[in-house]
Amino acid sequence: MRRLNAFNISLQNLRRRPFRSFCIASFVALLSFVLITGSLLTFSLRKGMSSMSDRLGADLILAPIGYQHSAEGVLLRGEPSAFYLDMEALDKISGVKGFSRTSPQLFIATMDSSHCSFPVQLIGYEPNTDFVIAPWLLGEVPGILAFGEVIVGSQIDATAGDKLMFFSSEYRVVARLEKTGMGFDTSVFFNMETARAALKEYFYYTGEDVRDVERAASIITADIDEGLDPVAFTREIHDALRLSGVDVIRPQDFIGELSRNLNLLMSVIFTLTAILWLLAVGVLTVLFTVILNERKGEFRIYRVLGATVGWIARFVLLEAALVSLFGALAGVFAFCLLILPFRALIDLGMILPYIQPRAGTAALLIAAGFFMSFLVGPLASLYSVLRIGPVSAASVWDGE
Amino acid sequence: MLLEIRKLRKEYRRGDAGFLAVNDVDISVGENDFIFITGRSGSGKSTLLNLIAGLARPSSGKIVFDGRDIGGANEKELAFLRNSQIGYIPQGHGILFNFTVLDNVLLPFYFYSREGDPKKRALSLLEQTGIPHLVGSYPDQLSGGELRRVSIARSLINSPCLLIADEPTGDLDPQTTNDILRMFERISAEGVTIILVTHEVDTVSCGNRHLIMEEGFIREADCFQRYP
Amino acid sequence: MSGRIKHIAAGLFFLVFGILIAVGPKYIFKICEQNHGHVTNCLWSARAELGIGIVIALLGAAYILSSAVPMLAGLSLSILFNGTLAFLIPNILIGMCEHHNMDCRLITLPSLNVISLLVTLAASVNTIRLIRKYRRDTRGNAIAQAERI
Repeated sequence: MRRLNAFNISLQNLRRRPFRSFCIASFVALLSFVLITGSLLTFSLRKGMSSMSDRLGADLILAPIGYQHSAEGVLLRGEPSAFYLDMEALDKISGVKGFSRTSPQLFIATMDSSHCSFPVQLIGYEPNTDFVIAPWLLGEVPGILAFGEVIVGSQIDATAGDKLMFFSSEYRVVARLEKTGMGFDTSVFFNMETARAALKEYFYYTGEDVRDVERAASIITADIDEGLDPVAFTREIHDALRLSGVDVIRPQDFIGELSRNLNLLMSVIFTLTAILWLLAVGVLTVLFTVILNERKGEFRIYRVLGATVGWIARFVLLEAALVSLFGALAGVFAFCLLILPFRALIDLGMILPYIQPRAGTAALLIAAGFFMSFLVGPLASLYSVLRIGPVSAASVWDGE
Repeated sequence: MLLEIRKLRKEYRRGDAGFLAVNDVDISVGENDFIFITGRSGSGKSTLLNLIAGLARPSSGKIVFDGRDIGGANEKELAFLRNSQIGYIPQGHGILFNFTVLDNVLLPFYFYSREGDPKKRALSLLEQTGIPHLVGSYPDQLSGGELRRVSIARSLINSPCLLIADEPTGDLDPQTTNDILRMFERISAEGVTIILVTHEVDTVSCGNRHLIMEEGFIREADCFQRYP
Repeated sequence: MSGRIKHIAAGLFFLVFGILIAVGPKYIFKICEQNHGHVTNCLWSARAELGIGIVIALLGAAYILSSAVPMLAGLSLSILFNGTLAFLIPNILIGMCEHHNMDCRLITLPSLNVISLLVTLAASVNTIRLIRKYRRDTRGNAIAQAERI
């Protein structure tokens, strides 16, 4: 036979008022769901943003005129593109004074040859001069890529040792990278020698004129000399290079705007979540106070039977904690049901840099959201608990 | 003496004015007494019971229970006294509607650490009060008389030496009232001291003593004394 | 909630979710488009789910129409096993397309997982509840019979 302790009494009271208990628990469940989803969303966006800032390390990107959007698409969103600077432009860029270093990158767009079509971006880089992709790749995969070897982004379905076919050639996968939340996730990286060989095949398949493939480049990444004002320098070379068909892009411009928008979005999410939490505490405080007044007679009976005010306060707090616990757990369950299974879809659908946390971090975020929503019940019941003494005391009107 | 009350007063404030709900009450209650207290509504009967049970603090005077002055006792001590030595049957049914009849009777046992399984005693009390078949029922399925019986059974679970009943037969039909009173007589015969408050003078039996309360004052009455 | 309402609600739950498992992969959370005459894994999984979903739906309908507790417990247990099978088919037994960015992996598989897990969980809880009820009822009848004797 079960003991009638404060826990069992609280549980029984909740069971016998199923509608009221369900409403309070649902409210807390909603809060729990929103807290967890919101915190995971902001964490993932923040991580994606940080990754993007780390990856786009060049002061300037030089691309063919009219291809700024395509260049952004490749780097940020993984939208496959193929465009090339012509020889005149390359000559002009190499003559510019004020660059401390430059390095070419080559973009080739292709389709996976399997039955499930999936667009892939091929990126060629110069291992000896590249200062954007190469250091990062070296950090993930030691050693320099040999001819015919590739490194794949996190979204490409291949691992070290696999062979990938592009056009009519096979390439050996050396490694698969961690997620970056950027276009690199759906990219395949070659050294420039391999990339130019692939480009020849690409031109063969597309029927385009074979250009000076040995000098081909889609963009040039450039760092400016120390001491030069980036804004003034950019303005200076902008007009000159435009005449040669080159657009000068400052990555900080599109990162900056994106960063501002993201920060605004995250502030909005945070503010709304905080308001919701405070509202939940407020609404439940009012509700518990109303319930307390309704239960005056019940508390009086407990006191008559020999319960102390402290005992009654403890079990009222326990009731609030229990219903809050059930609600918070329900919120976690709803999150695990509605969001967690679809995280790959959410990832893909995000046009913003987005890197989901690892399992351990995700678990911590879920636990934090659960705890914050669980707290709502006990906090909201504090005012009622403090009023138990006066409410349950004997009154001159009792029985009179 | 089980209970001695000396010059007991309880003052309440009504707006700016104060009034004495209990006014210089002196009572001595011996073991095994069966005392009826009658009086009009508002005469201070329930307030007196609340003071004896430690649910209210006297404004002045002394209450000595079982040789101990309970005026100086703290809330915890009074609560324990109420749980273990005093059985209180409040006015109305005083039953918790979220619990079964059995759980209602068992509840006072579990407020403090106690050894043993009280279920057997609870079932026996329900048998004695004539409702063993309602063990698993919830209070909303019971009649007024049945609820009173549950209240009586509950008040006896911890074998108190003093039983206080506030209007235990209010709102009941004459037959049920009679049954309830017979039950109290049986409890008294087992050695429990009883103080029973009622405004129904007709229900007073010659059990032991009859006290009358009027405007906070109390006096002894002869048997079958009626209102003026 | 009265016993009758609980009973119908449970049966309806299984019926509706059975239908979802059956037709969801084709009409709601669709599998990959079939191209070039090549049949994908997700198509085979969808066909298997069609069969299992229909079985679960029919068991749900039978549940609504039945009343004896042992029968209801048996139906609930069957739904539990079929729900487990509905989970295993697209995850282990047959599987989906390999590429993790395909529609079947992004939408169909998680949807089926959620629905089949819910069905399995609900059926487990329901089966335990019914078995306990059956034991309580038989114990009560035995006591009543002993008292009569």
